[in-house]
Amino acid sequence: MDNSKVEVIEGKQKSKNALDFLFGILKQREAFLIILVAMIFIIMGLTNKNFLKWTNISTIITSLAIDGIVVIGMTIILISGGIDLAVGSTLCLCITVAGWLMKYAGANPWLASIVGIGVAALYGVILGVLVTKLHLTHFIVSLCFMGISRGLVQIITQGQNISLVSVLGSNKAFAFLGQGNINIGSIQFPMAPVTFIIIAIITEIYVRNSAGMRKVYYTGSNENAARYSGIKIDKVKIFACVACAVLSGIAGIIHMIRFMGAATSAGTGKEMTALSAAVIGGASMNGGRGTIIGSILGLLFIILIQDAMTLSNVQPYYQEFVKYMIVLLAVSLDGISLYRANAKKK
Amino acid sequence: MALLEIKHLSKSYAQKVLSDVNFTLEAGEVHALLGENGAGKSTMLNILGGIAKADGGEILIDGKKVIINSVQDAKNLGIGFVHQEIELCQDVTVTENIMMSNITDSSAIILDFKKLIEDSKKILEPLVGDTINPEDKVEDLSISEQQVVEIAKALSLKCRILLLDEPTAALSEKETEALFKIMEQLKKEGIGIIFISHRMEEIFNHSDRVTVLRDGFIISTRKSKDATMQELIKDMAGREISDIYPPKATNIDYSEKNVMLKVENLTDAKDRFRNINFELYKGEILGVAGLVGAGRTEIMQNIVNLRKRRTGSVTLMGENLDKYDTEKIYKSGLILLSEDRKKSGLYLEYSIGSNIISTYLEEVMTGMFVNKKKAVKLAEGMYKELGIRGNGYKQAVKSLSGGNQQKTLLAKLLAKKPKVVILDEPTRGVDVGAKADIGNHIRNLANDGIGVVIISSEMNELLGLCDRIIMIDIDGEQVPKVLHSKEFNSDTVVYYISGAYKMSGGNKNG
Ligand SMILES: Nc1ncnc2c1ncn2[C@@H]1O[C@H](COP(=O)(O)OP(=O)(O)OP(=O)(O)O)[C@@H](O)[C@H]1O
Ligand SMILES: [Mg+2]
Repeated sequence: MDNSKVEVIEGKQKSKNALDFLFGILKQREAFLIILVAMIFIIMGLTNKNFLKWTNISTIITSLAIDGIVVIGMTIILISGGIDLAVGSTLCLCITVAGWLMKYAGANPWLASIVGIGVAALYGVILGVLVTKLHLTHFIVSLCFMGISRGLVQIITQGQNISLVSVLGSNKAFAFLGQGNINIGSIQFPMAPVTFIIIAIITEIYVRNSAGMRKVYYTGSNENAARYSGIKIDKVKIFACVACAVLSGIAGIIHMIRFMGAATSAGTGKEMTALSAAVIGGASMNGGRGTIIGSILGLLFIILIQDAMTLSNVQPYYQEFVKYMIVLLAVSLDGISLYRANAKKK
Repeated sequence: MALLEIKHLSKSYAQKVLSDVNFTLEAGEVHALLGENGAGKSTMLNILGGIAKADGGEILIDGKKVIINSVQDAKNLGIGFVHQEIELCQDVTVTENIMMSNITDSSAIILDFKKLIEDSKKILEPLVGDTINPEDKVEDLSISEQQVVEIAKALSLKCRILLLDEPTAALSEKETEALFKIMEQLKKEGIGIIFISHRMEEIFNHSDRVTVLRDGFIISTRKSKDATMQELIKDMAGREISDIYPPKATNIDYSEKNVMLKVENLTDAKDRFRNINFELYKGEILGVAGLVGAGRTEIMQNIVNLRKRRTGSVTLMGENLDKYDTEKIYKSGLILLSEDRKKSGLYLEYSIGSNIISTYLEEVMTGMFVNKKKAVKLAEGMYKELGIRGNGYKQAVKSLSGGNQQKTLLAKLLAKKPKVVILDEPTRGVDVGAKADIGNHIRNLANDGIGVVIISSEMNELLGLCDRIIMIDIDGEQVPKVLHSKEFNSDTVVYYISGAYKMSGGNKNG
């Protein structure tokens, strides 16, 4: 007994060889991702003159902003032990409703957006209730809603994209949220990332420290343990579903302003991006794990790979393939480090 | 006035589990609850803890009627609960697990983790000193440490009534001692404790009163110091059990040709134990004694190649197993029943029968399909053979009491007769009657020519059941002496496994 204790302590203090060191970092997920991201920056910065140009950087941070908000939601629902495959569809339904109200019903854009987000929230409630009360799985219900919401979008729009150029043109304050720039010296810093950063900081603090969010972790980690501590696990799960859906909706509104319209295809594939980002960032499909920072770094990593490929003129046909191969690789590394940790314990 | 009073409590699942239960708990009292597996002990505590709902009856605290509909209600009434099964959040730190109830009741946006860590340290301190780091994740702890965390979790509540459902089943000796000290302390503070255990010594030594429950009925309540073992066992089983342990084997032939399993020079890759050597002969039950933590479990895992070894070899009836993986070793006829019921894989959602047939599906197949008749025959046979108590082999395993889950696990492993079976704590959490059943079953196996190796932390069981005992001392070294049943004596065993023999030059003197 004593022997093994000593061994563990020593193992923590000094890593015996380079491999241990490498996997040590791997376990510190955020540090590992920061190193990866930094490496991409350095390599791309040295080899491609367009990479560090402001236009490119600004593209990166804008897409980080919109997808980032979705990823935050996905992380929360993953922590609770659930999953939402319909984040992209919810995003689209939200902006379709909001856009339609603005354009065809002349609604105030703020109000229309709130209604749109409300529709997203409603979906969250439905998902949560079906999962907790009827004991359906997140996977099945959200898979259905992936189609149901897209279907609703088609019905509302009759397949036509909603252009909001004129509406946004006459509502500068509203448009500012997603299109505006803050001038810092000579560069114009886009407003969307600022909105995102504010949301990210608030949720990060909340997720890390609040009693409310700790309950989500406990529920995702072991429902019985949570129940035995007096946590109302149904409530917690519904909360996570709604939080995810609402964040998808908010991401949608910024997306809508940024692209000046509600396209019927908006948000396609976002569930894949969000899910891979969160998993790379340390969230677990089994619940109980994940951090906002980790997930955002995971997303940044994915976006950078995408961007690097585009700049390096990798044919679009290859991009999807390469992107997800790299995601698979990152997830496998994770598996290996876990495996090693377990082998050590034995 | 009693601190807690239960009146006419009743509860049914598929069948009646509690019938007209009347029970009192005084402040500052440890009231032990004794009964066979499935008697309804956990159900009674679950009702008090707000996890199960009673069908009828009432609960009074300080003479006032209370309603307990949820865990939260129980918490508010000052009821702390250590559950029979370990239920912790594995991905979460020790601190947060211990303080979970406090965190749950808080609505803070920014929790004061420093204070939480301090508080949890204070609770852990009297239990285990500082050997558990409150900032570690629970998944990094051993089973017994996890049980300590479960207990600490209940202690974190300022409770007046503490429910302990087999808290000692997974604890080491040291931790058990620490727990009893804390219970003494709590008694002084006027806290009432309901304590469930299948270990009779614990009941005699550490409870004030003992109540026996059988098939959901209260049979008797006595002062513990006045109770006798015979009385209690009779109340529990409803019959006299004169011999808990079956007769020992006579005339075992200890010659080379009768060796079933030979272990030579086994040394762990991580040095948990060194140079283990033993032979298992046909017809005998071989016990392995050692303190919790001496590495007995690890030795057995090593034999079936679940752990890496540095040196050593294992031979099963002349067949060398060193190069085989665990699955192949099992196929060759050497199987291990592991000590951890949950991980060792009962399919909790499935029926007892499905579990029993699952390991040796080929035994009940006709061509490509499961032959219903064969399956039922096997399932029913094993169900009866091990004396599982439930509503028949179709009952879902998750709704069985803990002890009956353990029997199901045994039935599952023994559905096809192996050549040699290694049993790690086969009767953990099992009642006296069932211990006798299982003991008899194991003796029958040995008589049928199956080799049996047993690890048990219960000294009486080792002494009662085995024909020979090998001992591992606290340093993970094998004691040079092997005890034969004539030399069995618990003092002798303790003398060796504690390592005391090393200090006095290898001879036991007195
Ligand atoms: N959720 C449930 N659904 C159906 N039956 C149940 C459920 N929980 C318990 N039972 C049944 O109630 C009976 C009493 O079980 P209980 O767990 O109270 O026994 P116990 O006295 O604690 O036994 P042990 O010593 O094995 O832990 C058993 O027959 C069990 O099968
Ligand atoms: Mg029980």
